[in-house]
Amino acid sequence: MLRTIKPKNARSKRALDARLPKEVEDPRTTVFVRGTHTGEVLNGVMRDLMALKRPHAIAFSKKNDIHPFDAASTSTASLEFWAGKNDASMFVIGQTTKKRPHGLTFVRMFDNRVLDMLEVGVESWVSMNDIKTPKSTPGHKPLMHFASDLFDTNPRFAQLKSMLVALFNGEVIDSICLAGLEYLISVSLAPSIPAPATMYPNLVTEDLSALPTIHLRTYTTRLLASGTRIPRVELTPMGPSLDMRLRRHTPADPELLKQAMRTPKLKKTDIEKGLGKKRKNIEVDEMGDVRGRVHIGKQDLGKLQTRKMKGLKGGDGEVEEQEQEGQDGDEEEQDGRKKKRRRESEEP
Amino acid sequence: MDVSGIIASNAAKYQSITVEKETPLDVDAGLLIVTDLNPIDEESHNANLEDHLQALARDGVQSLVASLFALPTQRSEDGPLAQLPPPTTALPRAKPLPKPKPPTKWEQFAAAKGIQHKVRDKREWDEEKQEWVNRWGRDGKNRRLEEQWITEVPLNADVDHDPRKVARDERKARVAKNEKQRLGNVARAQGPREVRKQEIERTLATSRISTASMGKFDKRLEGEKKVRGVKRKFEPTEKPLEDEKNASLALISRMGSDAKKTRREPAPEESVLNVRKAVRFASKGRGGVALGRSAAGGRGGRGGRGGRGKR
Amino acid sequence: MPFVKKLKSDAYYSRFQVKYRRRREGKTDYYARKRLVTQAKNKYNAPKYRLVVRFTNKDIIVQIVYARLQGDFVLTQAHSRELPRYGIKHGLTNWAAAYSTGLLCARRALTKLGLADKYEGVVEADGTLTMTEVLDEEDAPRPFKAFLDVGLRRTSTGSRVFGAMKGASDGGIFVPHSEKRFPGYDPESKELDAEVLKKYIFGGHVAEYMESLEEEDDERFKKQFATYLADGVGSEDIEDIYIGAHAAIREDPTFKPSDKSKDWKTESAKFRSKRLTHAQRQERIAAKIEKFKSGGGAAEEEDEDEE
Repeated sequence: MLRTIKPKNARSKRALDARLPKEVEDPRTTVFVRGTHTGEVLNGVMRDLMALKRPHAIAFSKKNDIHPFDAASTSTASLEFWAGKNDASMFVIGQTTKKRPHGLTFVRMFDNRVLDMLEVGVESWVSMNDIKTPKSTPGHKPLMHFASDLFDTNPRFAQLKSMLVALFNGEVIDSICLAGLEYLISVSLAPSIPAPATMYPNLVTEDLSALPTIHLRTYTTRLLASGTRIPRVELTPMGPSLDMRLRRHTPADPELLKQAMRTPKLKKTDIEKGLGKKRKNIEVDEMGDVRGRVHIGKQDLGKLQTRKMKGLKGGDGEVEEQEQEGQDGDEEEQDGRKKKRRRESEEP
Repeated sequence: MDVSGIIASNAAKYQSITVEKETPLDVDAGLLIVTDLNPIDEESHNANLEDHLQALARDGVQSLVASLFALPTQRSEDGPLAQLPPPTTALPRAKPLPKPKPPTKWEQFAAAKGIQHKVRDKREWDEEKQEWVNRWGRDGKNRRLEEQWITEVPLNADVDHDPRKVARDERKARVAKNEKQRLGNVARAQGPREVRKQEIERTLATSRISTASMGKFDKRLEGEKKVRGVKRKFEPTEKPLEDEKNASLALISRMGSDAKKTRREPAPEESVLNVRKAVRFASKGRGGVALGRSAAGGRGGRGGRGGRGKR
Repeated sequence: MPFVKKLKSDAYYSRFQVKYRRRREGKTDYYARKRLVTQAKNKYNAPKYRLVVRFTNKDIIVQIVYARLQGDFVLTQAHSRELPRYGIKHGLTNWAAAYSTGLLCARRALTKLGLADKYEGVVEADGTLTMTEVLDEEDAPRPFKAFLDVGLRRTSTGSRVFGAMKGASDGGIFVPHSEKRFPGYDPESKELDAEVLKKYIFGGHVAEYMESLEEEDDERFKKQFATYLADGVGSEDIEDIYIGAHAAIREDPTFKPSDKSKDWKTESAKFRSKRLTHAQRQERIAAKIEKFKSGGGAAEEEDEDEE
């Protein structure tokens, strides 16, 4: 049984309440962990990524014996422990070995359990400090740009995109100050080699060298007047810039992922505002009244029953027919329906 | 006047803020993301990497900015704020969706009776002090009786009657009752007592037989029940192949099945109305018979039992 | 040495995570900094400025600071040691000096931003609580907003920090605040006595003390107000000095660098030891060993033993 903590004062109650699940979530607090050996490159990379992530970043200054892919069970246990302690839902783990130099592992959590993991190898890196240009403001939301068809087609890159978005931009907000769109994180891939692998998808063992290099660049934006409402954007490199390659990964457990992808039910007010399901033909006019348009089918004026007058009646034969119709009107109706049905079935 | 120059410069302006690509860019304004699904041009990539990346990023961000500046804005004291649409990119959540709290016993009762929830202010107007004071807590008004400097003592009071203590005890009893009810609500939220007890016993039994000797040599607490029907089972070292296969298949089928996931039938709901208590309250403690009699008597003379009063 | 029970194990120390450097040095309150630097969720990416007020023994520093990824940047700053230019020659760390420094910083910032004509602030201070508000005109620029950063100073009622803030607020910057921490605020009646605050703004409290000390203890008076007396400033002149200084600040808030008697940059560089290269260090070690060997190493060793 889980230990239930009863807050002893209002302050600790607030702190506990802040950790409870929320409908609209806070940004993911990310812990930057050093593995058994990191080295200069990874230290720098993690420092720069942390600078971008602040204030939702926590640095672990000590080395940790953590191997999320090799010794999965113990590492997972410590990740889960740290996640609970720090109220963190994401980890960036740096680890460099002879076999896998400069490895950076992104771990995403759900409900204090590991959801999925992704490892990239840093191939080249330019620090933020080495590019002598103006930098952005801490805590500002970045723009993000992904360029390649593989982000849609390849599940590995789709995972990478999702991971990077969750790291830098995962928070849902409802308004933003447009003057403060200060910087851009651009992730693009090297041209992909159209491998023959696609012909035999079953035979392919994952060949990592065939996957293109990832270029992560950060730029500060300058919004210049263009004469229209929309400004022209100019970019200046800001740093860090990283070239990476995909390495190992663990996809999310489908059951856990299903739980994680659940979305809250939309509130009634939101639906009225027009969020969620699209509402056709309903609009709010200037006075604040809800106006609806109703579409009625085409009116068949031939069947319109007008005032019955003797003069309008046709010839004798028709009269007889009508009388007959009057007698077995029910049958006629049924016939009509049948005809209609037949017509419908003929159409397609 | 030659306007061709002006037209040309205007066209150049517009060109710089519009982006044309083979596949139109996919903009998610809610999360400020733009995705360019066009394949990367190998030639320009290899020619000059940094320029290629910057040009690519500029095109992408231009269209993102274009869609962001087209959004409706709202004035605020920090400048105009663009109202973002809900994001289209689905991201996994960090924590599960918040569960609705199970209703307390009072909430159940209030809902059944249609009693409206009234929010009581934490502060209360004090006529004497002429200011707002706390209802409870620091300098709370609920301690008024304990703290007033003069208190009326009833005539028949004991010698050691202490009005302060009486008031204090009453207040403490109210607090204790509330705490008891709160704990009851917490316990009820976790499920009925029997279910919880069974669960604990099951867990205990599993942990007891989880040693190699099935807990035979473990220390036993006083009053601990003996686990019955648990025996060590030794599989024969050699088994027909068919048996082994069946066992494995059975295991696999069990793993794949939804047997564990099948929901238990929800327990029949407990009535929120405690009938006995309600009768006792309505009859002022005299019981249901008396209540019936009084109802009958009130309507018409000597109806007696089983008269017209009964429906 | 007595026996001390080891309370924390090696495992504890090997896992111990130190706090941020400026926390360890006791210089930064990171809880406050996080909230002063980053923007609230509902108005993300809007700029945020801080009005930083710091006191040293002889100086008051008021700065307008904004944060960037690589560190904080100062938009404008004002020191109380610039005040002699505007006529305030004594008492450069008192409440009235803090007010004047805040005013100077605000006027300087608004001049730099080109808002000085639009937002004049409170030209004649009267000690009431006034906030800089948005102009009524169409398309008027919004007031420049900055949040007070007091650092690790105690925010007690009447603190000089709020003097600097009041100065900046009267100078036309929008600093969200209440009257609670101004001198003259009465916690009982929860009201601000504007007269008291006005007295502090124009150094009235200094003049008052001057008078009382003159009556009571002449010796201490002469010691305490020695520089005032040397310049012939009496208690009745003080208010005029501040009124004049405030007007002068509004007249010309620009910074004028003082004449440097020395080139301090090269002067201080003389005393800075430069880091040696690896080769130079090796050479130095080799030279030391050589010296040790040649000059009878045994004798030196004995010396070391004695120590």
